[in-house]
Amino acid sequence: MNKAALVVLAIGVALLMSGNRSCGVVPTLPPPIDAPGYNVLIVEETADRGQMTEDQLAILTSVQLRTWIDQQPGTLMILDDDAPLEQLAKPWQEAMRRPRASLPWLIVSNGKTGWEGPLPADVAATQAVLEAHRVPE
Amino acid sequence: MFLSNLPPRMTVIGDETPVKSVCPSECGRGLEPQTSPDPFAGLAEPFPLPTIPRGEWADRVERQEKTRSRLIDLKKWRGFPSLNQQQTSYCWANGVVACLHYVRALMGLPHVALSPASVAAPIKNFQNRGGWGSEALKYIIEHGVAPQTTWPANAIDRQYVEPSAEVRKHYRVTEWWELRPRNLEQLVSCLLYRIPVAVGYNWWGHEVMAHDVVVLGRDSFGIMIDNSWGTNWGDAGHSVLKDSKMLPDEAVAPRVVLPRFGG
Repeated sequence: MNKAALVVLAIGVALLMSGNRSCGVVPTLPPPIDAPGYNVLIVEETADRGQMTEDQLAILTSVQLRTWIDQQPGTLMILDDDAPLEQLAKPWQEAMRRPRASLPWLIVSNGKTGWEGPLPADVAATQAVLEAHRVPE
Repeated sequence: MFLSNLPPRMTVIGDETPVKSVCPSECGRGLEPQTSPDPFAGLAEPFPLPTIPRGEWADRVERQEKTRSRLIDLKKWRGFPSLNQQQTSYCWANGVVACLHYVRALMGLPHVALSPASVAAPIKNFQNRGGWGSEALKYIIEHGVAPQTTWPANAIDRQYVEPSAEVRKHYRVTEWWELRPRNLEQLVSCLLYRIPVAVGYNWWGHEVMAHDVVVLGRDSFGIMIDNSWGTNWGDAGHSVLKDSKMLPDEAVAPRVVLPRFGG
């Protein structure tokens, strides 16, 4: 097997191991929210909503996404970047303290693995990330 | 939402609508004459976001409707009812508390029915008197609002002070904005950014909560409101204001609350 074929094989194996064949996102290990079950956290700065596109704003209030998360069953939290955290359970506090490269930021955790990164561009792309990291059957 | 899609009971209240027709005698209102030199009660958090150009409003409303991402979609999905102030004059607290219900829903927090009277009664020394949303918001920022499990929604009674003293601290607003009075661009932008607004109207002597923008025609818009006259008013408590009647004399927007799950 030549070198190019080995590179292609390695990429293929990595994608398969990520469990995500649709959007190419790489899982985070250990799970970014240290709690059992399916948990989704969106961190945003409400004072910066003017920088979000309409497609991204729709993610915050999408009934479709919330219904899907409920059906897993799962929990969705949308928190302001500087919201007081003392009322939150410890796993959520720790998730809020994780470094973030930008805002708004999405964290998905299924108890075994997860994903975190910038909030996708729209509801469909967000749904793809969520589905890629649902709780393994 | 577009005019053609409005439910039959979703009345549109505009300049031609007689004030008497939207003020049933059995429904409480309660804005005091605006005499304060500082109508915002010292809140001083002016709206900082860029206003959305008017040319984008209709398109954004259409896309909100397609993605089922309006605040009213969220309310229906979560299934909490509109408030009912009954015979109290506490509309000004109901408007702000309704905002908190929506903000909590957006944040993913479970619905906790909060008590407008727990805010208004202490401010007015346990008298059934009018006020303004900014007063209610300032009080909630400092003291919180009690769940209805510890202070019934319309109870003007000191007996609830002590039992709710601790729990109400967990239901505080931590971030908010005040909008410029009668400024449609700020109001519409705030709503399109999914931030509900408590709006007070001198013409109505009443305060309600605005949550979505409605397209009424070419370059013609209204705002959908959630009133505090129960679910028999309008469409399950909702209606639409347009023309000069939608321009609020006071507008405050609580946008972040303490992430308290309940209890």
